[in-house]
Amino acid sequence: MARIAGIDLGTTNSLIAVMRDERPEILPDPHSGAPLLPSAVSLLPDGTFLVGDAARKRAALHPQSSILSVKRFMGLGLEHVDADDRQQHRFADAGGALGIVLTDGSGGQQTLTPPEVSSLILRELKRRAVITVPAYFNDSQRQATRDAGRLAGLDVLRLVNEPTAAALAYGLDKQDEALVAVFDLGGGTFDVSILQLRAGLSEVLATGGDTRLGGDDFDRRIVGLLQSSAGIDAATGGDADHAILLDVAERVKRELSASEVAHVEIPLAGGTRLATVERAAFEAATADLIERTLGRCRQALKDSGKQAKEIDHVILVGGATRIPAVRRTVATFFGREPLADIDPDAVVALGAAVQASILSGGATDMLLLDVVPLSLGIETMGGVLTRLIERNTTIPAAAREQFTTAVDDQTHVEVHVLQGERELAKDCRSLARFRIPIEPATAGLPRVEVTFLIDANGILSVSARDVRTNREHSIEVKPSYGLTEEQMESMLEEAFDLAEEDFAQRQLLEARVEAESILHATAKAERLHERHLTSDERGAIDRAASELRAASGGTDHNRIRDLVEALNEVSRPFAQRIMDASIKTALESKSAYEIAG
Amino acid sequence: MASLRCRSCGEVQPPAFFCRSCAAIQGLPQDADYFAVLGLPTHPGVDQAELDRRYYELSRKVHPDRFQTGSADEQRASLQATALLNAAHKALREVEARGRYWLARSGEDLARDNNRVPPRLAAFVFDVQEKLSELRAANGAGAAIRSELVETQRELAERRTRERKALDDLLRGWPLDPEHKTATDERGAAALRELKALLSELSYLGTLDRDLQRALED
Repeated sequence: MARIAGIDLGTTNSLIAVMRDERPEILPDPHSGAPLLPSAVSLLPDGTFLVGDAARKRAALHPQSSILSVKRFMGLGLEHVDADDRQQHRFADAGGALGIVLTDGSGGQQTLTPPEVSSLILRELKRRAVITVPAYFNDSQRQATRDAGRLAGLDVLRLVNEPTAAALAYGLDKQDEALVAVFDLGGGTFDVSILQLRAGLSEVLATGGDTRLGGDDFDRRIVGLLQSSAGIDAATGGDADHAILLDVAERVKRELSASEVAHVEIPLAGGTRLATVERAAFEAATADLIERTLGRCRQALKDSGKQAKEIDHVILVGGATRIPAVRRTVATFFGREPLADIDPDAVVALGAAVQASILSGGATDMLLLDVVPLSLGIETMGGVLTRLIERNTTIPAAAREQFTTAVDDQTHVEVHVLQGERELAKDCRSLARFRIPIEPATAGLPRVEVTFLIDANGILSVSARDVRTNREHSIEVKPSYGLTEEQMESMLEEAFDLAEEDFAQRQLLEARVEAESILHATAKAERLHERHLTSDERGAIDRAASELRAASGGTDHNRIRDLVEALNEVSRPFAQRIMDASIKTALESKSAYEIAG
Repeated sequence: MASLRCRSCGEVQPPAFFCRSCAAIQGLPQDADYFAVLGLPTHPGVDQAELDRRYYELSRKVHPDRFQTGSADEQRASLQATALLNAAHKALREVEARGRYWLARSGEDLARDNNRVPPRLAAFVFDVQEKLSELRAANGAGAAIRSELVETQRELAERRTRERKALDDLLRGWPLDPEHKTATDERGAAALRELKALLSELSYLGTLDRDLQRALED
């Protein structure tokens, strides 16, 4: 979901805000919890940069490695820096632009232009994100979600399970101790989780579900009712008619949540038909679907070692939980009225915002303990899955096991990493496959130690070691995104090319973002500071801007970057005049501009 | 357990999640002793409430969420520490897992021929398997045998509860020598024999329960 983040790239401090509930809200700095990010950058001995509060503090001890208030130098040339500035920093020519020289304290140095320094700050500002995933998401799906965040330029602070987020939205974490069931019936999937909350700690005890059960199934059952009510032959009618029926069914479902009977018109290709569906008929036609959800609830309870009557709160998530029969059945099953005050479609997103603020060091002292939704293991003799980590194990988790060979003089062992509950490897999801060379020996003699490590996001890394030679091979399991074995193989062969392609793709995205931000800033400056602009200048700037706009629709990132530079170049005197004027008019010079986040 | 050199300041000390000198988080080896890790007395009769309390208290301190802004080294140590803590909690929380951990810690192993029917279960197992094959022979038509099997399933659940209780009692009264190891006298040897018997019975009952469940679902 793209949303526009407002960024104030200030001289002393910078901050970022997003619209929330139609109101802008400042996102606090994840490092300090403060709403402001000091606009400070410091070069570390290892050549990397420190940004924000830590950099500001470091500047006091290492002034030559650090730069504060870089905004003052934006748009200036080497000839503009005065004696006072030269006392604080060393400057150099950076390809015609002003370069600030930072020493790294270990003999090296780097020269950065003011925009480069600012980009480090910007990157820091927009790097915080919390993304929710269904509790049943497997490793590949989690990887894919995290990658999507990265591609969008976000550093995903944490992947949070949706049921956990729902409990947070209800503020249940503030209770001393509670056992919570989250019943999530969405459009296409069902998910149930049992959570234990106690004094600021949320623990997923068990999770289960059905990836092929949701509100859409209820719609399909209503289609059947509509057909018999309106006398439509199920066998006739094309795709268009079927789509119309599904659309009407969805409306009937909503209507039956509020009233006992729904009268509808069905505008089919062959003419409009009338139909009536009673709630009782709807409930009879969908009772088995609801029963299926209860089966999963029973399993989740069993896995958690709890009983239905022990549950303190039941939370409803997902649009299909608006169906009265669902609510009633859930209430009967758990022996209590479910919580439904918060919009079941929004409750997860609200909880994610709560978790984001927790991770940014907000006031709450909350800790989430999640579990791995599916067992993880490797393929052993006979194509069998040997589990190293059982499902519902609290993460982070580690497991280590030794394996041996089945054939004499094997020169390598193949490690096939799998996820799933089935016994046979072929029925489980293949996550990765790699080979490790071993010292040839009689079958049964070699010892290969396989280690699994799952981090707090549920993402797996695997390493294998020949115990006798101590030779080790490790991988972070890469997403396979539901591909077949063959596709995976060819993907591995193409891995190198793909990596290059991914890189090019990212460069393009970054260039486009940069283009967008400078275009936006330029347009805004033209609007606000018209009086500082000559008509010749305006013509030149607008020409450069429209060229850039055209290029950023294309795929050549080098051309986009060149044109960004060109626009920067022609608008430089203008920017400088604005800067001068604003320094004159205000002591504190801050300009807000926006980037797409 | 061997001593540990602090990742950050280098001081050598007994293993703990935080250095006693500079307070830096330590990624302990995954085979560290679970009782020591949780700061519990070395005895298999674990006080559940105390176990949970220590686990949650330590989780708050070592969890990776607490080191979001830490160095890569700290994050790695936090990940290892939390994985170890989770493993320790899982192994000690549930009585069967705790029994298995204690057995392994005592340097013993469930016999290789673990899938042989445990002698004390023989009559019961024979009865269940006979009913299962009757159900298979009935080919879906055996309503009577099915309800008998549901009854058997209930009986099996009761048996498991009884055995777990026996295991819990055994672990609570475990004979230790002054070194906190299983006593080497006849009492210790008898306790170990009983522990093995109960564990293999429970494991067998677990498999039988799964078979029953599958047969009834088909």
